[in-house]
Amino acid sequence: MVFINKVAKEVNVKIVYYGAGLSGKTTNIEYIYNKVDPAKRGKLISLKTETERTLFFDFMPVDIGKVGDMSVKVHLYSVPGQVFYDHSRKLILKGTDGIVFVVDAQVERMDANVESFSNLKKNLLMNSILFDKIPLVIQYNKVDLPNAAPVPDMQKLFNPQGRYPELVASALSGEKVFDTFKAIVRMVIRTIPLS
Amino acid sequence: MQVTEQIAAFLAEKKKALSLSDLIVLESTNGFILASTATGEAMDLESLGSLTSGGLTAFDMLSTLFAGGGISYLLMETADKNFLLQRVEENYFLLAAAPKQVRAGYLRLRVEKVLPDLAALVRRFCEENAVSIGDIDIDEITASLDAQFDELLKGGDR
Repeated sequence: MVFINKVAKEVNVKIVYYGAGLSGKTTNIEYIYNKVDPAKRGKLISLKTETERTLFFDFMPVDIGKVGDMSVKVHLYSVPGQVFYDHSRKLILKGTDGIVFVVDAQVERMDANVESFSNLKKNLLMNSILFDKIPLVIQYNKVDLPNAAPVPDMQKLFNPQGRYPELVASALSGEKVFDTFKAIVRMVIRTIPLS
Repeated sequence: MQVTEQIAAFLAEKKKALSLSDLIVLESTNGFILASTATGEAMDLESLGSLTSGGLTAFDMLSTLFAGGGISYLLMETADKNFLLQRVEENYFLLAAAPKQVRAGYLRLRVEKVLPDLAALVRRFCEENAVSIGDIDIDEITASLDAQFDELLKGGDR
């Protein structure tokens, strides 16, 4: 739920990057961390395993600044993608205002993507969040790899009706990473009067 | 005085009155800070908010799984300090840190005394922020977002 402090004229939103293991969720957040003016973002917290995989979550606050007469602050989270961390994913989704679903475009990862998408729907429901109501942006990541699936094939799987904004990205090089971030922030801000 | 200022003043007053805590933070279960007695810029409140929120949420789930219900407070002891995470209302909790010599149980007892008044203030905050937000111009916010996005990248590692 968007956290609004009317007196302080402050809007706080929580955005979660979701997706299968190694799809590039942490890479997205790390890229934003490196590109954003240090004065406008907080520390990047990564709770990782000894093999550098996300264990609980990555977190980074970004101060969008004064927008209108409101100060907008975005809290970015990523979930651990590995299948067995399902409880952690469910916990991190609690109170989320928007989702970026990161699809790993590699053909051999498509089953994992589909499973993760279905897991997202289930975990949102368990948090009493309606999948159809939450702002969602789909990012097709790693499309620059030679084994990447064609984008129309991925659209059929994840966005057959074209309901969600989607971006074709390469998180490692930063291609469309910030555009993804902008898209989800815009969507979340638009939902504020309804929340 | 606005309710958020009242909450901040309340925390500052109690911190002094209780002579216990060297840090008191009130935050939402999402880790958004509502008020704090932290001074200076050394304290990274956003990181603290996220980590305590994550910790509380995880322990809440553990408690639900193994004990059939959510937790109302958590006590933590470290080499230098003791910490209390105390649920205030359903979606808010208080983090209090005290020097090691203050026993965690004692910290909890002292905080419990001020809890009803704090909960009343939090309820008021929730009521005031739950009303229509018609005075916030969402269109204006949306329109000026792009300019702010450009500003965000200035000074970053290009």
